[in-house]
Amino acid sequence: MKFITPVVLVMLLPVFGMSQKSIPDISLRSNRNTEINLKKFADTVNHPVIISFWATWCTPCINELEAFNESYEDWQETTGVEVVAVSIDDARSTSRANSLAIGKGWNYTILFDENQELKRALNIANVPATIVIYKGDIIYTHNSYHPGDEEELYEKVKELIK
Amino acid sequence: MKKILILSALTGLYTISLKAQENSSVQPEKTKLIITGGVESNAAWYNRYDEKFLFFEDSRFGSNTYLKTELRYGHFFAGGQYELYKNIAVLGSPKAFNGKQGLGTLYAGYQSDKIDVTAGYIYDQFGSGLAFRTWEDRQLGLNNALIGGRIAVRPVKGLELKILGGNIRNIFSKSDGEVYGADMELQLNDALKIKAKKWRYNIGSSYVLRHTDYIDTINEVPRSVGVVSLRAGAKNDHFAIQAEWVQKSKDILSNGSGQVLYDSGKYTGNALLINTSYTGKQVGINVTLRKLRNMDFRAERGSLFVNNLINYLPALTPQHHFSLQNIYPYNAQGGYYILTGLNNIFNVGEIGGNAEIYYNVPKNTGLGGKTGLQLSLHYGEFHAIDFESDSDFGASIKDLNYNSNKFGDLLFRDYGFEVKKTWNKKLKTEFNYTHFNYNGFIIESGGPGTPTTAADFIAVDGTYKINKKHSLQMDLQHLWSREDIQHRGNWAAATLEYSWAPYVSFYATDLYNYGNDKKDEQIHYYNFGTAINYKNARLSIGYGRQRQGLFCVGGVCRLVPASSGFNASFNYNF
Repeated sequence: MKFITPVVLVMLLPVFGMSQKSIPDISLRSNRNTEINLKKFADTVNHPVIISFWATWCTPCINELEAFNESYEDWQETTGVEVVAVSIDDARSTSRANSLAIGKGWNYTILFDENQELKRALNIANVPATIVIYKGDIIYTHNSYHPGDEEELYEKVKELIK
Repeated sequence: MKKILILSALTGLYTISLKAQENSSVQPEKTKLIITGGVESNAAWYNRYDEKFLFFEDSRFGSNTYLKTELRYGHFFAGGQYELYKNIAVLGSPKAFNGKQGLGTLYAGYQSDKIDVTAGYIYDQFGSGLAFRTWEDRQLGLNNALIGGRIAVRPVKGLELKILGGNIRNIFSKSDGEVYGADMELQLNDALKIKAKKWRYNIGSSYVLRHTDYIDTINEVPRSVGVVSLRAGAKNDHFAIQAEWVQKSKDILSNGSGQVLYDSGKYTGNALLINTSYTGKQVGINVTLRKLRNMDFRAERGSLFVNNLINYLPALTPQHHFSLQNIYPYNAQGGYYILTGLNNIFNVGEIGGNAEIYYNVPKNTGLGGKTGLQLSLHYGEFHAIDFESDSDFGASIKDLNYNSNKFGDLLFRDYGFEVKKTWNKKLKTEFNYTHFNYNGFIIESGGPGTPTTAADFIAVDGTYKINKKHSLQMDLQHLWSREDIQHRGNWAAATLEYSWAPYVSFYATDLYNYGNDKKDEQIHYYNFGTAINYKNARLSIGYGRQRQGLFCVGGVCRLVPASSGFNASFNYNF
């Protein structure tokens, strides 16, 4: 049995090399007192959305969201882009996430992926990980963060609304 | 047999999808097959001998590789993960993985708004996880997926009911014990259509049952152990409170190293968790209180470290991000330990709390200056639960006032603050101070011992953006440490990183244990390397030394041995 599975897995890859980039049908609790279904959200909004996976214990993640925040007003005016910050903090720190965001002056919608369902569904190995979605599809994916990455990301967003 | 069934389900989907593709030119709107997946590999090539770093494993090459794929077709889904640990598993992962490979997970199911059905390997969590949580953490080599089935239904808006059952994944096998659970979560405002917008209420409850056929001829050990959890919460735009109370029926009493206390098996467990928060304009405050007593809950007797866990008992103190701060991480004490070796007195569990304030100091104020600054403060401490003993010597668990709630000896305390300031478009700085009190005997080895390390930490960190794409990051850290159980004394550390966004970065870091009491252990733990990003792929390569210590992700810790050598990691998702 053991050898069949990898064979099946590997077989699947070339056949469907054109893997579809779309958002999983998963609902998460948000800091706006509502539950948001990612797929429905992605299908209904007309502007580009940056989804940033972060955690309260992840410094590069926080640096990335701070960098977005510094330009967020400009970005929104020019492109209408929305930032959604998905906290993968588990029970240890999930209650911290919203307080930290407010203490940073962030005005993002925050989603709580407490048992990392969305992170797993998108095959994200580590945080920070950032994806750009537009009209229901994933357009761009980036792992890790270094200062300046936000410029590249914003270029991708600008290309979308041209 | 189960595997064959799931495989045939996979093959079924495969066929359906091929047909779907054939038809797709005719009906472009038809349900599409979606395939996603990812590869992650972490590898190391260890030095056999590098000063104090000795390596005894059979092979010098270790790697943990995960190949994962998931298929979705309308409401149906199926997926799996193949794992390889060759030639050995990376140090720190459970040694039972060494040299093995095989199917780590495999699952298939149906998901819609009203109902989810899943068979195979399942990740889930009830409430905050005190009663039940199954998850994967590759960095810890932890995967306690439930192997079995689960049904979740959402009959009305705001109500979710779940039932599940099976065994816990244990390396490439499964636990002896079976686990069954039921959970209810109710958002009262939605379910009862409460119009009042100001406050939102939720309640929940779970029951988890573990059954093993294990028979102990010496101890009277309950074969079935049940855990009940009751939860309630309320919140409005500024305030939130969540409480969870958990009661475990009579069970054995074990410590973090898998040892079971003689003549135990008649001690109940319980936990209480209260989370409160206030969020105002630019300010967030959090207070968390928790008590744990005999809450170690596993699907197999005598399981060690991260194996066969059924619930999740995270340390509630903040996770720090500087390398020297992580020399003293807290590890929650859910089981028993011996606080003073001389008298053989046992303690069970922990009691304590943690508070944090985050404040965004506005621009153009006295404290904030022209550009504003970000301030955070934290204070937390956890104690043994004290008890009154009948006798001075040889007091065993029998003599304990088992249900006491009195704060006993200190296990861990940390407090400190962090200030972050953006000076201009180019320069950002951060200053951090943290004080630690750390009972190393209990936290690292389950006792016995009372000495408590006291340590003070400071760090400055600066990020300088040379231009849009190029930047430098640097930090300097120092740790003053007194009464360290390994007599390691003071440390100094520095990091330098250069990055060319979004493609490449280079880093060099050194932790220097210059204050070690033993001259020959005043070692430099240096590391340098590079990371490359391209589209959805990331590759990093490094060389250096890893210090021995407790390595924690989330609330779970494992002891990582010292090592030296090359390391590489790669991940790609599609």
